[in-house]
Amino acid sequence: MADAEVAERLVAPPAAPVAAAGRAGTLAGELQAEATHALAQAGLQPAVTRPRRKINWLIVTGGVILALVLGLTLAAPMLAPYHPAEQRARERLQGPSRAHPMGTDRLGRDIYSRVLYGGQTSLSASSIALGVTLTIGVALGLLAGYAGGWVDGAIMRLVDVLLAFPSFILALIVAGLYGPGLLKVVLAATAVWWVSYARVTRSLVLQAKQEGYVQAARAAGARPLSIAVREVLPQILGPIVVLATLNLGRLILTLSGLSFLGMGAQPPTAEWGLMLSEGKAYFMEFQHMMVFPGLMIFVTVLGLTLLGEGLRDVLDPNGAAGRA
Amino acid sequence: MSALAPPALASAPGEPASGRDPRTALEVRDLTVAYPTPAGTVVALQGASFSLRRGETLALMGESGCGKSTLGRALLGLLAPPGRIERGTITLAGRRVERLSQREWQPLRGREISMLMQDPMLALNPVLPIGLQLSETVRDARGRVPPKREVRARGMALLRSVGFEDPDRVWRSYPFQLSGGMQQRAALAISLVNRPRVLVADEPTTALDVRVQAQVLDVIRKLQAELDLAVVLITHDVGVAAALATDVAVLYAGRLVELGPAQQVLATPTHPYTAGLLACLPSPSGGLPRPLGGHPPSLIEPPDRCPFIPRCARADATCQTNRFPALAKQRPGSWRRAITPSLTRSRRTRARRQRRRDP
Amino acid sequence: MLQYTARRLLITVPVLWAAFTLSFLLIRAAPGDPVDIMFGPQESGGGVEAVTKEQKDQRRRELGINQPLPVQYVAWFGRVLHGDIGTSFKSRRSVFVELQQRLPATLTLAAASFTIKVVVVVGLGILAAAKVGSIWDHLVRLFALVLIAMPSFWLGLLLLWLFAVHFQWVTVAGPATPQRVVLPAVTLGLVTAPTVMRVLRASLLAELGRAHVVFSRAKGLPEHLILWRHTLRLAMLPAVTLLGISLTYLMTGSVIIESVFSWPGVGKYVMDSIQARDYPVIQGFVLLATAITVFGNLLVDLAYGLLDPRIRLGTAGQT
Repeated sequence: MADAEVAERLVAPPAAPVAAAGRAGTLAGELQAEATHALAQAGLQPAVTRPRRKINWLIVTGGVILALVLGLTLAAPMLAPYHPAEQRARERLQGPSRAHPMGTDRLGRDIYSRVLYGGQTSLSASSIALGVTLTIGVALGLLAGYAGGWVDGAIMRLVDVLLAFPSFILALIVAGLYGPGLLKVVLAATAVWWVSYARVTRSLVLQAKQEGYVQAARAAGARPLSIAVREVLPQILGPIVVLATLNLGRLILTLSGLSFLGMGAQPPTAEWGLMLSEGKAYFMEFQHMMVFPGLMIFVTVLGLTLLGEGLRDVLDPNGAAGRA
Repeated sequence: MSALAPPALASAPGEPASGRDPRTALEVRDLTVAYPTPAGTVVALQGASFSLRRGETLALMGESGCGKSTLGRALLGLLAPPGRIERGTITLAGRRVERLSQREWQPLRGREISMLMQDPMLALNPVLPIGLQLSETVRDARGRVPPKREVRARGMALLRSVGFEDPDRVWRSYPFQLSGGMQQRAALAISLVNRPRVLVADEPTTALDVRVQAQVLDVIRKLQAELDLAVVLITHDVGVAAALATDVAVLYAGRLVELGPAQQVLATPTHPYTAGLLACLPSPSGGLPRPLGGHPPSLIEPPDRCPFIPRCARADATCQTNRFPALAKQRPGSWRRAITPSLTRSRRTRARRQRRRDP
Repeated sequence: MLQYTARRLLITVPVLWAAFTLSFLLIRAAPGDPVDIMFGPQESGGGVEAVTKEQKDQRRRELGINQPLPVQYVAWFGRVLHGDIGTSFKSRRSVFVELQQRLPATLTLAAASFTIKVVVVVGLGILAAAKVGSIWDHLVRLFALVLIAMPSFWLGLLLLWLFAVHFQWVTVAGPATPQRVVLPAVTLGLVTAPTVMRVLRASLLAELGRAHVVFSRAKGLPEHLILWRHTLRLAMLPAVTLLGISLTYLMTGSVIIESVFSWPGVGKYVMDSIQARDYPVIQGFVLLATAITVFGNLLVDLAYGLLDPRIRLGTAGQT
C-alpha cells in the first residue's frame, strides 16, 4: 500500500537530478585513496567490494523468522486443532483459552487454526503474484535495455503511464470492476507491479552493456539473446533477488489490504487480511480477532524485510535494487 | 638558506617545539598516521618531521598512495575515518594541535590553516553561489561574523586579487558556470579570505587544463607574497614543485626519504627514489623518460627495512640486513634517509659513512 | 525557471492523456453492462417496476453507450474536457459534486498525515544521519524497519483499541472533527514515513561524504551550517520526490485508512461505489487520482528545479 506506492516511485526520480547527484565526488574515491591503495597493494580487494566474513545478522534473523512462519503454515494440517472452516455455534466469540489458543470468531471458528491455514492463502497468493510480476518485468526490462530504440521507447512510455496511476488504487479498481476475488486481485497487482522490475532490469542491462566482457562477447559475434541470457542475466540476478524479497513483503501487505477491504479473498476462506476485516467489527469487545492475524502479517513482512536488507548487503552492494 | 630543519635531528626530543623562530608557521615532528582496517593497520605516514616558515613553500612529492594527502589532511585535523594520528606532534603557530577535537579545530581552520583541494568542481558546493560560499567563510579577528557590508567588501577584494576582473559576476555565479581555472581561483579566494598563515594545497593544478595551470600557480605565488603564507604544496608534478617550492620533501611508502632546498633536491637528488622519480620526466636535453619500475609496497604493518629495496637499483646486502636509518644530514639544509651512499657523494665519504653506521 | 516550468508542463500533457485513455479502456472493458446493473436491483426488488428491453435500450441511447467504442471515446473525452465527468448511477447526482463534497475530509486527513510524516521523516532522518553509528541511529533504523512491516490497517486498529477503547480519548465513529483526525493521520503518517526517512538518511550521509564538505570544514565553517546549508538541500532532493509523490497518494485518499476509521472521505465513497458498481463514480475517481498524481509529479519536478540550480538552468546533463 503506502510503502508499495512510495517504493515504486522511489525507483522513478526525474532523470536529470539523478545524473547530477550521481556525479563523482564522494570521499571514498578521493580521500581514502591512500588507504584503499595500500589495501590493493596488499593484494586485498578495495574496501567497497571486500567480502564480509562477519555473520550477517539481518539474514539470520529474517531467515529464522521466515522459516518459523513457513513451517507453521506448511504444517498447518498437523498443527491446527480444528478445520479452518469448522463452526461451533456454542463456542462463538471466545477469548484465548486452552481449547482455542487464539480464541474463536463470530462463527465459532478456531482463530489459531485459521491463522495457520490463512498463511497458506496469503503466502501462496503473494508468491504467485511475485512470480508473474517478476517474469513479466524482467523479460520486458531485458528486452527494453537490450533492444534499445523504439522497443525501449515504447516499453518505457508504458512504464511512465502506469506510474502516473496510484498503483494501489488501480488494483482496487480493477478488482472492483471485475468483481472481487483473490485471483483477480493478484492479476490486478501483477498488472502494475512489473514496472519496478522492468526499470531495474533495464538500467542494469544498460550498465552491463558498457562492461568490457559484454562488449567482448559482442565483438566475438555472440548472438544478442545468448549474451543477454549468459552474460547479462547472472550480473543482474543479485539486485533482482533483493528487490523480489523486499517486494514479496509489500505484496503481502497489498493483497491482505485488498482482502481487508473485501476485494480479495472471499469468505469463508481463511486469509489474514480477511480475518482482520472480520475482526474489525468486533474489535471494541474482542481484540483477539484482529490482533493475531495482524501479528502474523507483521512478523512475516518483518522477516522478509530483514532478509531482503541482509541480502542487499551481500548480493547488491551498490544498491541497484533501490536506485535504478 | 633553508629554514627546514627536521626537529627530530635539530633538537632533542621533548624540547618545546616552538618559540625558537617567530616566523615558524608549522612544525611537524615524528608524525605517524594510521588507518586501522579489517585487513590490518595501514601506516600511511611514519615518523615525518619538518618545519616551515612563513613565506616558504614546501613541496611534498611522491607517487600516489605514498602518504602525501594523508599528511596534508592531518595538518588540518581532517583525516578521513578511520585514520588517526598515532604518534608525533603538529605545532601550528606555536600551538600544539595534533590532539584537538573537531570542535576545537573549527575556529583554527580557515584562520590559521586552510586548504585548497585537487578538484575545485568537487570542492565547491554545486548548489550555492560563489558569493555565499565566500561570504559565509568571512570572520573577524575574534571569529565573529562581520557586518554584511564588510563581508562583501572583503570577499570582492579577494576575488579581485585572485585575478577576476568582474568579481560581481563571479559573486553571483554558481560553480558550474565557471571554468575549472576560475573555480580553483574562487576556491583559493575562499580559503584565504580569513588570512591564514598556512595553506595546504593538495594537487591544486592536477585537475585543471594545462593552459590554466600556470595562471593558478601565479595567483598562489602572488597571494603567498601578499599574505606572507606558508604553503604546503602536495604534488607529484616536478614542474609544479620547481615553479613554486622553496623546499622539497620526498615521501616514499609513508616515509620522508629526502628533504632539502628545492633547487638542490630537484637538480641533484641524493636518494635513489628521488632520482627515479625525476627520471620519469622527459629531460630538457632530449633524453627519453625512464619509468620507475614496480609499485610502492604495502603499508600494512611495514617492516623496519628500507621500503624501497625491491625497486632500488643500488640496494645491496647491507640494505636487507640493516634497519632503515633515520633522516641524516646530507649537506647544508638537506637530509636524506638511506643506507646506500648519496648519489652525489664520493667513494671516500661513502666509506666513512659506512663505518659510522655499522659500529 | 519559466522555461523549465513550461517544459515540465508540456511533458505532462501526453502522460495525462495516456492515463485518461487507459482508464477509459479499463472501465469499458469491464464485464457487465452498466444499464443491466443499474436496473438490476429494481428488477429483483419485487418487480414493481418491470424494466423492458426497450426502456433499457432507451437508457443506453441516453448514456451513449450503444455507439461504437471510438465514438464513445471521443464523446467522453469531449465531456471530460468540459469538466463533465458523469452522473452517479446511484444518487443521480453529478460525480463532480459528489467527489467535491467528500474531498475536504480527505484533504484534511491528507494535510494532517503529511505534516506528521514530514516531522517524523525530517526529524528522525537528520538525527540518524548526523549521529550516524550512534544508539540514536540504531533506534531510528529499528523504528523504520518495524513501520515498514506494519500493515496500516492493523496499526490503525491497534491505535483505535488503545486510544478509543482503552483510554477512551477519542470516539470511534462520527463526523470529520479535528479531534477524530488525529488517529488516522498518525497511522497514515507513520506507515508512509519509513521509506522516505531511510532515503533521507542515506542521501544525507552521501552528501556529508562529499569533497565540498571537507572543503567547508577546511575553511572553518561550523558544522550546523554544513548540515543545514550545504548538505541538507541536495540531500532533500530524493526525499522531496518521495514526499511529493506520497502527497498525491494521500490526496487521492487512503482507502484503507478511511475504511478503518470510518472517515467520510473520497476513499470510503469510492469503496462504496465499487461495491455498487457505480461506474461513473469510479471513472471520475480514476480521473481525479490520475490528475492529482500527474500534477503532484509536476510539482516534484518543479521543487527539484528550485533546490538545484543546475537543473533549473538546464546544465544537469553536463558533468
